[in-house]
Amino acid sequence: MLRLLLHSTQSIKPALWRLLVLPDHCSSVVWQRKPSVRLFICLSSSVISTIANMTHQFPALSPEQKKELSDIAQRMVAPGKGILAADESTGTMGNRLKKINVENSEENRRYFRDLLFSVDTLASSIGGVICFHETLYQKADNGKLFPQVIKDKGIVVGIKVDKGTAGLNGTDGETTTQGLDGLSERCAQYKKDGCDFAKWRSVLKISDGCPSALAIAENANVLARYASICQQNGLVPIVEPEILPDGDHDLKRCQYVTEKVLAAVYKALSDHHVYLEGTLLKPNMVTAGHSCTQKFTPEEVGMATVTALRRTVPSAVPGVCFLSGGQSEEEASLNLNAVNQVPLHRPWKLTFSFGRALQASALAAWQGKTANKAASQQAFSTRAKINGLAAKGEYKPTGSSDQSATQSLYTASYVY
Amino acid sequence: MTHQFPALTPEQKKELQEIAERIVAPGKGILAADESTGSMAKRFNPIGVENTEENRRRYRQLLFTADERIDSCIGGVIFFHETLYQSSDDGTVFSKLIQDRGLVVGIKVDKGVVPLAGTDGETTTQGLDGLSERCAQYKKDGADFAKWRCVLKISENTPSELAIMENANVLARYASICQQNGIVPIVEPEILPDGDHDLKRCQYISEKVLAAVYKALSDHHVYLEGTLLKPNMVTAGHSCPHKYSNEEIAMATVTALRRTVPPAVTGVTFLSGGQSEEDASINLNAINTCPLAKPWALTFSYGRALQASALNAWKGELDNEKAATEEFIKRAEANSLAAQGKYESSGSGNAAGQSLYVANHAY
Repeated sequence: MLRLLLHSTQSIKPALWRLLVLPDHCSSVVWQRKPSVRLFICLSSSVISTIANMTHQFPALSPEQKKELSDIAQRMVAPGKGILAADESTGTMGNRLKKINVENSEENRRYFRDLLFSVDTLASSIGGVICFHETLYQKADNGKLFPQVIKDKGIVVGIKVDKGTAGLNGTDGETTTQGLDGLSERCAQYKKDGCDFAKWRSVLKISDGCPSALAIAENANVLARYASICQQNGLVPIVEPEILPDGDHDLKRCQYVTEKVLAAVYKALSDHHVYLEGTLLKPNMVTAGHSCTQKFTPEEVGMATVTALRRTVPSAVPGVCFLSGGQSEEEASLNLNAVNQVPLHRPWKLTFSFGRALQASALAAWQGKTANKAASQQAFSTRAKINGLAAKGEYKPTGSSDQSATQSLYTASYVY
Repeated sequence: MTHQFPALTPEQKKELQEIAERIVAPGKGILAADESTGSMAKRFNPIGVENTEENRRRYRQLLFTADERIDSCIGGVIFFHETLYQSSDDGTVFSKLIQDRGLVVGIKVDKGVVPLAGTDGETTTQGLDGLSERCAQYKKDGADFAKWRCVLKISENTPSELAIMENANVLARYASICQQNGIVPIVEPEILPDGDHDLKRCQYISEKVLAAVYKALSDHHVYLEGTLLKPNMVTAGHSCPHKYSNEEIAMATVTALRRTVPPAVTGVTFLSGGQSEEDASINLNAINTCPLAKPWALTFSYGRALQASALNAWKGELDNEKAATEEFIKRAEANSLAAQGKYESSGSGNAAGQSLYVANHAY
């Protein structure tokens, strides 16, 4: 049954060789001689399929591990709560601070995060905070490490673990995301240092030829690898397949692409044996592109978004925490509210994981001046509260007509 | 693939969704009366009835002429081709008989399993050739839904990746073609209960199979709201020495579905496989009382589990027809209750059963 075809003149010394079995779609097996000489041997494919069949389960997680992950995820999306995405990288923070003429120093970054985290009522609308690596090891004015400050409020601490996008050669400017190297060890350390969830952002864009099948498959796969590694280390993975709002495509096109992307993501998560009850999804809302000439109402955005999710996201996923993308603070809240009022059955929590949409006013109020701290905190607190209400579909903007007037704008779901 | 070329108009989508919703309306399920001629022989042999066209007609008639009690229990009936064109004693074509009483008419459209060469006895299902034209004709002849059965089995080496992928793909092609012709496809990826595997193994494989099915349906642009799923319940293999409670079966089944079946799917109509009539009802009931959120209707599409007693009571005798019909009505009512989580089988109390649910983290 085994046919050995030696592609090298070297003789085999079994003790020096170890067998690496490749995934079963490969019809060869690599013998790796320590350290570096390789020899390829062909095995008949039926042997490979016996070695590497997938009909048997090799449980990735114990029941206790599953319970821990599930409990963490549930806490993060408790009713009326969402996530503060405060994980802007140093470079991105630079962009934010530049707009208010504040120097992008480590102290300024620390000061602003402290301003946000020390808001007394934070826990009433915030279930989790995503931190950037630097921030995890910074301290509040009172000397406490930030993870401790956040945990003391009963809020879950999270960490951005990806290392940014990298080009996919042969595509029209599409990317994948890197950060898998040594990820398990990093996750183990972050868990020790107080984190209970992680975030990884993959990016896709809509244009005439995008997203390509490769971009979708590659990003779905890398998200699934990341999720699998996180769960092994007790961290709930937030899976973020962001489809950028750039472009002039309409709402229908975004919905179509979103459905295809999410279907691929959940197939990859299944293939990688990820425990869905211990994950969260962070998708874009379904919106038209920024340069689309047609404008759509929050109700249309809500309906398109919920329809897309209903067609792709298994109900085992406890929560969907939308990114705000380029939306203004108010737009993001109105859309989230509309999502939570869509008259279709929504088996997951639908809440927020906002960065800019929670912090824009706070930054503008702060201007880098200590005297403005209270005003800045007030601005942030207001957005947090509003989004907490929007996450329940209870946000009533002052001066707007009541729900019954907006209700009639819903088009029956079969149009989507 | 970044541009959509809509497969269906809004009107077509609306029609499909409404048909699906009618079939699985609360308390309703499906009578699978689509046994092929060959399968009917297997049903008739044990009761000593000759497998003639007339006997098949008489037998289906005693099911279809059951009184109004089944109207609130049966949402749809799956026919075999021959039966669609047979008539009752008074000359009414069966499809019209069923339609007139407000039940949806369905038709089995697959042409049976064929082997997948190079596998350990695995199969795919044929029937795609000319399927669109056949569906168009069936629609004219009164059918509003169709059924196609794919089969997978659990053993040391199966199901293989090929079997999963090929069956998922052929189910998606079938579903796509049906929808083009105004017919709601029931997607049936049956994993046989043969074997000695335990509950966990069946759950694991069910999850992998269903994930592949829904990826294929997405790839083939199938409108999920206008489909139904007909899966196996998650059970241990027939020869597994360990026996599982109804609640364990229910929890494993619902967990597997929650991880794979998008909420947009209108309903899940379980096949009964080799289960007895009573087991099929009790398990369906346990599924509906399982304390996990279930966003789709969870009901029955039973063949043997609705007909076994009726066949035994009939034995081909004219004088037994009423009694046989009565047996069928009894099972229909039992399963209607089970589909609402309200079935109390004689000899077991529901309250005792509730506490047997193990937290789903164990699944």
